[in-house]
Amino acid sequence: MATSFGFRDYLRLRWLSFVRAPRFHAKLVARIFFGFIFLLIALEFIGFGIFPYYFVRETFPPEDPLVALNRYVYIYLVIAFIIMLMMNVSVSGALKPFLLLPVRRRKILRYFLIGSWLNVLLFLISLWIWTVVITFVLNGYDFWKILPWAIALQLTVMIFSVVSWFTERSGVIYFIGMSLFILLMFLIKRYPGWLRPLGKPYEAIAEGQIWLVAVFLLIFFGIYFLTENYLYRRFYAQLSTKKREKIRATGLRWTERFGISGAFIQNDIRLILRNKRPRMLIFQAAFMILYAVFIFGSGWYENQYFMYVFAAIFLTGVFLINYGSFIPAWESEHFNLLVSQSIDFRKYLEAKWLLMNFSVLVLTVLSVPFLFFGEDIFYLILAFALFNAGVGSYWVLWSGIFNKMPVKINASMQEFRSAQNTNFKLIMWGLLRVLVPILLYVGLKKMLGTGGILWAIAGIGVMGILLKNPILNALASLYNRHKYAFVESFSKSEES
Amino acid sequence: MIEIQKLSKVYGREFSLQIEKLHISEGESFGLVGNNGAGKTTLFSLILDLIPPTAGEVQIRRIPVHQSEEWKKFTTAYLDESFLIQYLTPDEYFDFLAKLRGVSKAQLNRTLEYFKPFFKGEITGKRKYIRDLSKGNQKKTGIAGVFIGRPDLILLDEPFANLDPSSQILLKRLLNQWRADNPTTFLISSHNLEHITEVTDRIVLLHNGRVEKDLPVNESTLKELIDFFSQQIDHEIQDGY
Repeated sequence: MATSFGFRDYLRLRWLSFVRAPRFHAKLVARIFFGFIFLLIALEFIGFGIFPYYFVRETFPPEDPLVALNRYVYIYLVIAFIIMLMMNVSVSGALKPFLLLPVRRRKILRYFLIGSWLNVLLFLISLWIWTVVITFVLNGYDFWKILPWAIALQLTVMIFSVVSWFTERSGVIYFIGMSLFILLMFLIKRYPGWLRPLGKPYEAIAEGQIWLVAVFLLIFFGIYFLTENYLYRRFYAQLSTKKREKIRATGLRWTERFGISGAFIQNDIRLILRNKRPRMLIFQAAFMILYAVFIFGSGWYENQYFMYVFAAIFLTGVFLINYGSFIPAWESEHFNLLVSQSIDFRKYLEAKWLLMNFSVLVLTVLSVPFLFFGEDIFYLILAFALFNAGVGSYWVLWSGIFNKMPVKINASMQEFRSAQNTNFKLIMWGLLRVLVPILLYVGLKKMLGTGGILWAIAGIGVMGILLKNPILNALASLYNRHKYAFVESFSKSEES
Repeated sequence: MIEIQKLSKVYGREFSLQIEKLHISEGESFGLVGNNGAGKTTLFSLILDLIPPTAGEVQIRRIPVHQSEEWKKFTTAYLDESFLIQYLTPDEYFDFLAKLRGVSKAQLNRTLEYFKPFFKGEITGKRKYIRDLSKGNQKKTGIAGVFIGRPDLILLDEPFANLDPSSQILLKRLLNQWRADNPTTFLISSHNLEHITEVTDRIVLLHNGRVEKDLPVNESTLKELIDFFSQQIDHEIQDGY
């Protein structure tokens, strides 16, 4: 068969897969919202590109703006690298549908790799680089002097993206990336100048050593072809081997004493430990602890109560929020089984509530070392732990009703974190979930004083815990009313 | 056991299902045949209260299914994979069902023992998640699951699909043996006209969402069903499809 399948055909297919994704036909509001956010971010990147020149000219008049900029360029680069590492796409998964086409596999792979440069992230970073160039040139800078510098930066970013192909997007990579990021911010605050040498080559190019661009070019092509070869070989290996999964969480005898609720709790623990997507919850919790250490300990947010409250809520509530927002969507794949059994939502919700509050308890115990940052901070954490248990838990169960998108629990991260299925409503609920207590805290702090507000927040939480039965009953009847809607949207095979 | 009155389900503007009256007696084994789109799955979903009817109602033992959940205590179903829990092993899945239905370990084991030849050693005792089983073995897991707790009413959608020939034959035997030993009411759909006539007492043929034929099962039933579908094909060819 003759193959006239070119890069344009490939791009057309990708485009179709984008516009025909169920998410694309989301509500107009959501589409405008995301379009607006994208525009905002793009403008921000343009702003970041324009800003340095004027900033240096106004603040340090004799200094050459390009030289000054070079002193910080490494920060941009390291951040770009970390983000690219986390956002990469898995090669074998995306290519499978193309394998049966009468096109050489090497060609398909190359299309895929080159096509992957057409992504939002690379676009934004490039936008920044070339805005800097335009700003400088418009201000009378020599275009031929700044062009090699920009090319070197652009190549660096491209090299990053090639390197990122080696990683498979997964919970672990995500966790490592976020931890690196925090470590970086920590280092920049505590040991400025430590990473400066990373910016040296760009300084050299800006000073006229243009031949260095050739080195970048060589590295880029070298690394590209090595990677392509490697991926081509690994591609086959990946397609032919099927990993046998280890069976985890087989015991769990202790759940038996909770009766039917226990059976659900047992099932939930297995759900979390045995499926890719909910397994992320564990990494998220670990990351949150790290992040809280950063917020309370790095010195970046000295006495910024907004951030402190934010950290306190999430430190003990991270699991509750991330897990709870997808109740009952986690069980979308076997929802029909659940609703056709003789069980009521009341017991079901109670099991979820117990599990979530168990996580709050565990995370609270784990945050005892935060006493190191001061008693005030620990009391803040304690107060919001009670608030999470007594208010947050119902909040997420309630918001779960509005989240009727089915969840493919064992889909790899690459499959689920595409721009195609970001849930607008969920983002809104999440925002409210965080903003309301923060505003409550900030608003009432003046009235009640620092100690009083903590008692008030803890008190509200305790009240919520005591009112468990009536609230869960109300929620159960709400779930009952939404049953048909759940069944209908969960039975749609695609996440929409 | 099941009483259906003036039941209809409309999707968009088209009737997906319209049944004036249908009565299924206690202990009856009731078969459902029809081409794709005839309304079989819609009927199952309405009986299980998974979708609301546009009009009319379904009663199980005089309980309207959408008003009370009492009927769930003696009803089980396996329609498709959404009745399995993919990340459990079959043993854990059976165990979970037994707990939900208040069935003792001993009773569970008796039920599983009954299906042992059907499992061919590939279901129980294997440390493998359901999602890693073959389609056929997933089906076997789901089918065995509905028998846990000896329910009075069992709904099975396409139980023979995806099974290998010897498992299909074995399933027929097991179903008939179970019917001989238990007063269970069955509702079974199938595209395989031969199999369905062997495990049921009565067959309803759905066509375009309506009850086209309601036949007691005897020697001539199979032929009558085959004739009906053959005529359908002839009509369609004449109409120029």
